[in-house]
Order: sequence, then C-alpha cells, then structure tokens
Amino acid sequence: MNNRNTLFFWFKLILKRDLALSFKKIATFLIPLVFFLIVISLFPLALGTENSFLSSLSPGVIWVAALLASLLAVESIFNEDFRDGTLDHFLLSGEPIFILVFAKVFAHWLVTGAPLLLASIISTFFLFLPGGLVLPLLVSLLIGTLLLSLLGAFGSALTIGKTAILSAVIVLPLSIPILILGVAIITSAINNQDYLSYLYFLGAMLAVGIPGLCLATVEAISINYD
Amino acid sequence: MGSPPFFFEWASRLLPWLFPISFLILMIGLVWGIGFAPSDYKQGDVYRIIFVHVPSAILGQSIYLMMAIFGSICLIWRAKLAGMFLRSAAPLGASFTLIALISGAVWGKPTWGTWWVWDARLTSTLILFFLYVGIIGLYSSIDNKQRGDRAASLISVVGVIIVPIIKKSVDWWQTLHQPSTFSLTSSPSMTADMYLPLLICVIGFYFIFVSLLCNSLRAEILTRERNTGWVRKYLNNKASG
Amino acid sequence: MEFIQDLLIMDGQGKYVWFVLLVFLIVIFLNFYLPYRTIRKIQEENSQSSEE
Repeated sequence: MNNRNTLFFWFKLILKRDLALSFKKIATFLIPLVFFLIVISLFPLALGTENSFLSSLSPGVIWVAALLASLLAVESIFNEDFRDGTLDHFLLSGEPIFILVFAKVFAHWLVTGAPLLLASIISTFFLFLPGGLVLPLLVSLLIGTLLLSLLGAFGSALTIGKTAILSAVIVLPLSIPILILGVAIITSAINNQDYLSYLYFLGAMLAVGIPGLCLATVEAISINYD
Repeated sequence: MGSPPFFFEWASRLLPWLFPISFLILMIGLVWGIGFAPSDYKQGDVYRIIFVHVPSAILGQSIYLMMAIFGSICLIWRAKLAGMFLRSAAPLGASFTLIALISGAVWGKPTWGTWWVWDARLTSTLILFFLYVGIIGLYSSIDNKQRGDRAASLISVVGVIIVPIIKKSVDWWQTLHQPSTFSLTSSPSMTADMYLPLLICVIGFYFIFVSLLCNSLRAEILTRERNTGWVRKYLNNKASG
Repeated sequence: MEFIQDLLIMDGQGKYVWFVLLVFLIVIFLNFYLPYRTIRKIQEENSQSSEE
C-alpha cells in the first residue's frame, strides 16, 4: 500500500465518519440554513420593503448573511473531537493531521455550506435580486463558503474551548477580502461588467487557501497539545 | 544571548538613555512641525496633524510586520523571548493604529466636513486595528503563557500573509463603490521645511516605540519569570540597594 | 505673546491640532505607565514578602 492510497483512505474514513455523525442530527444542516434565512429577512424588516432599494442592497446582504452563517457554523468543528479525545488519538496515530483537518472541513462544508447555496436561491426571491444573477451568485458562494469554512476552522482551532465571539473577532477581519470579492462579482454582473477576473482571483485564493489554511489549522491544533 | 535575563539586563541599562533621546527627537520634530513649519496654502494650519498622523500610521503597519517576524521566530525556534516581544509589541501597535485613526478622523472634520470617510487607507487602517484587537484578545484569553505566545504568533503570521490581499481587495472595493474623491496623502507638494520635521517625527516615533517596547518587555519578563532565581536576586538587590 | 496666541488658536483650527497632540500624549503615557506600574508592583510585593 503506497503513501497516496493511505492518505486517501484516511480522507475517506474521516469524511464518512463526520458525515455519518452529522446525519444523525438533522439540526446540524438545518440550523445554519435557517440562521441564514433569518438574517436575510431581518434586513427588509429593518430597512423597509421597497423593491428597488432591497434589490440594490441584496448582493451585500446575501454575502454578509452567508459569511456569518458559515463562520458561526464552523465554529464548533473541533470542539467535540477535542473533548472526547478523538483528536489526541489521531495525533498519536502518527497519520498526517493535515488530512484530518481537510476531511473534517470538507465534510463540514458539505453539511453546512452546501445547503447555504440552496438557501441563497430562496433569498434572491426575498430580496428581489434579478434572476439572471443566480449563476454568478451560486459560483461565488460555492468558492466563498469553502474559503470561509477553512478560515473559520482555523479560527476555531486557535480558540478551542474559548467563547465563539473571540474566534469571530479574529476571523472576521481576515474574511473581508472574500466578502469584497464576492460582492464585487455580483455587482459586476449586475452592471454587465466582466466579473470573471474577480472570480478567478477568488478561485486562486481558494487554491492557495486549501493547503495554506489547512497547514495553519494543523499548527493551531498542535498548540493545544504541547 | 536570546535569554530573558540577558535581555532584561540590557534593556534596564539602555532605557535611561533611550527615553531621554527619544523624547528629545520627538520634541524637536513636533515643536518644529507644529510651531515653526510654514502653514499649508490650501489647508491652513490643520495640516499640522500630519506630524502625528503619518508617523503613527507608519508605525502601526511596521509593528504588525515586526510582530509577524517575532511570531515566526517563536514558532520555528520556540524562542521564549520572541513571544514576549510579540506580547509587548501588540498593545503598542494597536495604540499607534488607534492614534492614526483618531487623528485621521479629527483631520477629516475640518477638511472634508465629516469625521469619517470610507477611504481605502482609512478602511485598511481600521481593519488593521481590528487585527490587533484580535491578537490581543487571543493571547490574553489563553492562561498558559507558552500556548498564548504560539497562538498569537500563528495568527500574526497568517495575518501578515492575508493583509496584502485585504489591501488589494479594499482598493477594488473603493473603485467599485465610489470614485475616490478624497485622498489624505495627496498633500500638495510639501516643501523641505515641511517634510524635514515630518522625517524627524517619524524617527522620533520609532525611538519612542523602541523605548516603550523595552519598557513593557521588562514588565513582561519580570511577570513571567518572577519565580526564577535570577529575578529573585535582582529584586532583592533592588530592595536592599 | 501674539506668537503664542497664534500658535494656540491657529485661525480656529488649533483645537483640532492640539486635541490630536493630547490624544497622542495620553496614549503614549498610558503605554509607559501601565508596564511601569506592573514592575513597581512586583518589586513592592517582593520587598513585603522578604520582610516577613
């Protein structure tokens, strides 16, 4: 059995385990989705219901809601495994913890981030976002929520056992580029401008972010086991 | 050489010199700038805020970079002293960034008519301030000092990689949302007797930063090592002498 | 005397400049004083415990 197979084996194993664990509780994927929709519906309640006004705000509102939902959802990703000792076992097993982190974040994203994409389609009706923009919205959210999950996992690894708001204060400023690029993609699409360059940049950030942020998360976890 | 006792000794000997020198340079720069430099033909005298604003903004940024360097030393070599440096530098960096923000706002009121403008530079400075607050919040919430050091180092290193991306994206955001009508730094061509005092102020700010850093570092070392032999010896000497 | 008055008022813009300078001095002083107080406290605690 060569090394690559082993890594993939671990990846699949952890992915399966985490997915199985989260499918036991329906709340894990329903709560972030509902949170997202609640935040979205707060804006018309606070700002009034004038269609054109709401639709001009909608890219920003959807992105802010997605940002908060995915960061809050990923906040507790390591808590359970830290408490019951699963993390200790994995660290002691000598397998590359990198794989553990990536598999956990990916599983978490499948459960909490992917439903957000669905909810964002509903939110376009709530906020009167023009229908032709669903594609750029979905693609930007697809990349963006993955990045946000990675970033949030890093923050939660740094603050295992601390309050969630600390992790938010650390991670939110770092997530500003994702927010700006995400909104830039949609507003460029609204104005019929070229939005692909922003999308490529977001994609490049994801390409760098997967190894970079996973490594940082690994380091953050290992700080807890000195 | 990188040991806390050595550095403590060194800082204690340096500080009685460093503080007066930095005060002198700062005084020269500020008195020259605020009292004697010619006033600006467009903005009048209010431009004199530049002598506090620009040096603090420069320091706010370079301290962040410095913290990332200390942080990588702390992560790679597990150097205790680097962690202490980082802890002492973070509140200073936050303070200078705060001064830059406040002075920018106070400068904005008479020149733009508002306390705040969502200008790219101001926004990046605000984000930088948030990053500082996050670092300080992180290490002060972790009881174990070594772990706190490493966590703060890690977030500084990751932050310093992300900061250029933040700056770039803030620039894009600026061009997307509003044509930039205001620019703080397009100060109409400064003459020599304006930028010379500014230069002295920048140098003075760096000096005062190093003095304050040494000062907080002494406090940090004493608190962390207070149960070691050399600190006891030092304190007893101090008490008897 | 007139020079000092000019310096303080600066055509009505003096309040901004002096306020910024005041903020700067306060922040610098705090950054000096807080570590200084920590050092003093440790020294005092030590001298108390060594007297006992």
